[in-house]
Amino acid sequence: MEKLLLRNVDKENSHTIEAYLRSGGYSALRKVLKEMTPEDVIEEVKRSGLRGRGGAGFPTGMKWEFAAADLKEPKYMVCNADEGEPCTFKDRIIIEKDPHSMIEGMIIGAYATGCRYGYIYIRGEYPIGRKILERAIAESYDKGFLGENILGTDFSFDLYVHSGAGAYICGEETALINSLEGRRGEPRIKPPFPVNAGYLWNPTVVNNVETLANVPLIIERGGEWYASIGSPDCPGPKLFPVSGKVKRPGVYELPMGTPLSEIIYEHAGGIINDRKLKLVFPGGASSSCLTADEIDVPMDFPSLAKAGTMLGSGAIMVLDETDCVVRAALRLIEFFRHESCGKCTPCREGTDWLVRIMRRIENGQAGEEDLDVILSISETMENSFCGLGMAAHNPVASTVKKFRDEYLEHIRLGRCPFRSS
Amino acid sequence: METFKIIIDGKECEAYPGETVLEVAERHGIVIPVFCHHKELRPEGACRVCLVEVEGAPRLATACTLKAMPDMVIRTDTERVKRARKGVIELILNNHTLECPICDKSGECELQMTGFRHGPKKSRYKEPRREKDIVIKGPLIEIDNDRCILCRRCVRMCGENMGNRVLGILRRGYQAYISPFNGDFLESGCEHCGSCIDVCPVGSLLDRAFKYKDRPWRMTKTWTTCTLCGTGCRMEVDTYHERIKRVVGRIGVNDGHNRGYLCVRGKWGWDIVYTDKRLKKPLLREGEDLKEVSIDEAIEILKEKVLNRKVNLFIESSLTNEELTRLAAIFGTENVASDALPYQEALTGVAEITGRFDTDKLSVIYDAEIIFVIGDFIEEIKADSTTLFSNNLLI
Ligand SMILES: Cc1cc2nc3c(=O)[nH]c(=O)nc-3n(C[C@H](O)[C@H](O)[C@H](O)COP(=O)(O)O)c2cc1C
Ligand code: SF4
Ligand code: SF4
Ligand code: SF4
Ligand code: SF4
Ligand code: FES
Repeated sequence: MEKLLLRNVDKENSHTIEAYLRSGGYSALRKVLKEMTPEDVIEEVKRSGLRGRGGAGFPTGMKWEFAAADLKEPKYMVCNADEGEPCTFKDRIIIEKDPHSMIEGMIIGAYATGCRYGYIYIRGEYPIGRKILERAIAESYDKGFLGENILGTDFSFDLYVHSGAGAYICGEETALINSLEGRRGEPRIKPPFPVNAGYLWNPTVVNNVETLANVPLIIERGGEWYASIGSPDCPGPKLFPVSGKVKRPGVYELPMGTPLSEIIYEHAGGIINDRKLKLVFPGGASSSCLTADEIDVPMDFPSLAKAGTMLGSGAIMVLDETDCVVRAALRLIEFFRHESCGKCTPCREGTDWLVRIMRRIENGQAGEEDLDVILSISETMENSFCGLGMAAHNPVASTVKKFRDEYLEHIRLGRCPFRSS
Repeated sequence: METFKIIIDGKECEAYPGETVLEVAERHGIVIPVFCHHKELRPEGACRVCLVEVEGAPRLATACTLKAMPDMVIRTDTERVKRARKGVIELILNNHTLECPICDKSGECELQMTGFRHGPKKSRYKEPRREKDIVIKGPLIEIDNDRCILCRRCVRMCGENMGNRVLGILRRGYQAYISPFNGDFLESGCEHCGSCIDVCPVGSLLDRAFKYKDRPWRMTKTWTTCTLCGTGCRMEVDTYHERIKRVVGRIGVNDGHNRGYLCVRGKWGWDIVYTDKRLKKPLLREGEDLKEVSIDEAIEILKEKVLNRKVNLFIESSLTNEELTRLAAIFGTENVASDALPYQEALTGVAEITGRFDTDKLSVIYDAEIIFVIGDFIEEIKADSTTLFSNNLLI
């Protein structure tokens, strides 16, 4: 397939504005400012069927329409570059190798929704990305794509970079906004949603890096063209970061709806040493796992939801037959325990209890009844305040359901069967 | 105001626009357990114990944050809801100290009551109890974080309602704990209004003057008015065998104009009742000595000395009406001065404009959009109204 999102990343100095302009960059912005009204832009994005790539898959055109309809001023455009989930590294490639595509997407989004100021909230662990973005923004100001009266029009937009301080929860949009305001990184009650009451309680559009990088493409080639790529109800190109026991881990750009098995066996080269695949987390660290028999599923939002899991960020994590399921699930729930903000009871206490039970299982000090306790904690965690707690139990609960025998073996042996005793 | 109907547990309930499902349920006598919700605080949605089922919604919702909408159908009594509540309470109790026998809150503890009514009957927790072992002591307040359920009522009370922003949460997740933001109450600017203690549902925020002093269930509770300044805040004085043990404001229950908010004097100043410096009987100087006399004797002697002479009586504004009536009956109202007089003059001025002499209740400050403060002395004379002010000014 033709590379779209990754069209520039292999070019020399792809992060500079010269390289971006050489490959036709900022022509979408010119087109928007010269030929299109904000309504036209929103219409075009709606026609494209673009859905947010940050995890929730919310239709971007609709989000922009809500923000445009809110008359409170000033409005803010925020790019969510907090990418903090284990094994998710798709935004990073855009930030570091093609920053101007997301900046251009952001300016177009700001024009469509009437945002005057913008922030890129980048995770603290991406210091290089931050430098690259700051430089790219400076270049963009130089060329007149940012600042007052952009390209001689009435439209003005200022853009700043803000570094997070290392909390995964700050990727959740309302926690991100809290953090941007200088408050503790904790999610806020929704509704009101950020499009109506976000940064400083003003209308705020929060979009993921990859989402925004799609926007110039849609403007250049049209929403209809875009909608023809990949799955019909969830179209477009998608970045899939593949990690774990595959021969060629990395970020793959493929149409939405590409079967998971194809990604693993064709693009990522199959399993290391041609071992047997054991399970896959198809949508990041908080998705429910799929077994080897279930990987023929198309990778898009609705298909994965139907398969009882989720697309999330699209990060694919592959485990093979030599990996211990219990240990993998334990490692993931330890991450969520560490990252839980502690605001709500189910997530704060549930992650800790899960970690403690899982450690006992891994160390062979558990009983079969512990598995039922796990499933009931998981049910309680469904009622968490935000997406972190609602999903954190998935890797544990799904492996208990699908790999019960392996858990029981730990319990029966009194140790982990994958470790020499 | 236009109202609409919602259905809770099959019962038709009248709801006002903007009300939460919890508020509607409470008005109609339907019990939904809460921890983080408090009438005087903004909703937080943090504890997740108030879960209810909403017809047509896949997930349970928290009643304290859910706005009532016309024709909503809510259930609070299904097995699913009960299981969810139990699950949350079990999580709270897992690492809770449950040292009720020595806890000052025992008997009026919301975790005890809610846990007993809605919690699981048995624990499935096999792990060793996780201790934070973080106790923070100020001069009058103590936080025992192993009893804290992280409902954040205290944080919201101090920051949003009192405008002091002393309390905050340090660390995160299962290690999170409550602390004055730089570890020390005084250095963090605590005004010792005691409001955080008042809203804490458990025995985590403690009144140090009351610690281990008595048990809530056996004290006599008397509603009265604070006499330590002229504001006249309503308060509950708890006594055992006629000895004062503590004063509580009961924010959210108190219907006085102060709505339960007190200042440091009201909350902790009651010990002046028991100081040896307090004059309990009039003393008459006889040469070098002081002789105890009865109050009637004292007044007679005073009358002898002052009546028919040019006397100026200076009255402190914190005296009660009963005391003032008595004084007026004896000395008349001719030559009286008081620190409240300038206030009367100000009122006369106001009356000329508004046509009324009476002032509004102090609590209307809550609903005011703009407050004019004339003179900047308020902080000194009325700590209590200042907190009300700062509440409005800071939000
Ligand atoms: C716990 C949690 C972490 C999240 N982390 C990220 C993140 O790192 N990057 C991101 O773009 N979205 C993240 N999201 C999703 C955002 O809340 C939000 O939905 C997204 O930024 C919206 O952008 P989109 O519409 O372009 O997808 C996270 C959500 C949750 C609940
Ligand atoms: S689920 Fe609760 S504790 Fe977990 S991150 Fe969200 S708000 Fe914080
Ligand atoms: S806070 Fe309540 S439940 Fe906890 S020890 Fe004190 S009385 Fe018992
Ligand atoms: S006593 Fe008052 S000022 Fe001090 S921490 Fe508590 S609420 Fe804040
Ligand atoms: S100290 Fe009390 S009020 Fe504050 S969070 Fe803990 S339990 Fe809640
Ligand atoms: S009372 Fe509703 S979430 Fe705590």
